[in-house]
Amino acid sequence: MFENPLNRLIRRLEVDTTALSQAEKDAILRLPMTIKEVGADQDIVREGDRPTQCCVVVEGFQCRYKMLLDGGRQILSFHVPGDMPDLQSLFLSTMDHSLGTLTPNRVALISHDALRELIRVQPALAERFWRESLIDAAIFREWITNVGSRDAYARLAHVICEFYVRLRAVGLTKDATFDFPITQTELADATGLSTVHVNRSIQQIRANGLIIWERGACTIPNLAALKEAAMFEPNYLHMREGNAAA
Amino acid sequence: MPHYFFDTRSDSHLVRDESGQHLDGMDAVRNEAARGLADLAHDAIPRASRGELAVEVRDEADQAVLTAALRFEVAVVAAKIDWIETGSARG
Repeated sequence: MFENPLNRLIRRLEVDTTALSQAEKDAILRLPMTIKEVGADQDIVREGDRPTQCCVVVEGFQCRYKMLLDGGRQILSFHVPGDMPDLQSLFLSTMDHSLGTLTPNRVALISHDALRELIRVQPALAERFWRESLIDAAIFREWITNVGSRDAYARLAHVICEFYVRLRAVGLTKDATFDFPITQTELADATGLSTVHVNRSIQQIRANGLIIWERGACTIPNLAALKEAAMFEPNYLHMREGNAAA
Repeated sequence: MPHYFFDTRSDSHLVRDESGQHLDGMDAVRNEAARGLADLAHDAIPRASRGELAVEVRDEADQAVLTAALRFEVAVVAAKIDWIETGSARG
């Protein structure tokens, strides 16, 4: 089904609005790209870089992050297949944060020139990409709320809920099970918590039967219960009806 | 790097760390335990008027290597103070 890796991007762009037209899909599938295999924990672009291409996640998971001078790291967002996490570099030339892999990745790199040409010949796609960057900002607002206002238990439950709903929307969950190869230290960096407290809170979430998480795979036996514990409202993901449902 | 396990205790409720962390030296262990204790306090203190919190660190041989502990108590010492009642303070 995904013979052209950019079918991932098409599927992703259809998560929140109606289907793309055949002409739009064809234009995306004709984009020139470079496929690259990248190992785990590698940077795709670093703060200060001036990239000339955007990255589509084809396989694997990525995160955007900032490093502090004292060595601390804040993970700003997680990215799943279909995402184009550095889309902003098309218009903001210097990276103000870094993008890196969490797991081994396959990525499709598309030049800025090709993306500009794409939205010139298919102007409605510019609206799609604009919409994506607005949703990107909505997710950041939710993460600010998460880190600032939820306790550790709800905060971690929220990250897991969001990860699941986003993966499910692009067809990468199997029933209630999904790949979740995120380390506790990465979860700590994403939630502003110590690894010690992440470990304790995850064990409590597990003990309460809200997740089964073994060897990088996570199962949510009762999504409604996890959503309640997380105070999770999927409105900020702006998905089409059905994609965000319980 | 050596592997350390950070068990956490809130009053008598112990959660044992089964995964542990690789850390380079006692300074890193101390820092991680202290940050963990601060997080425990952040969640626990608003919910209770007193309690005891601890992070107890073990090495791979199950030997205790460091404990970070905190005893807290929140007690009203005056019957009525207006600025507490209003619930917000602006400087």
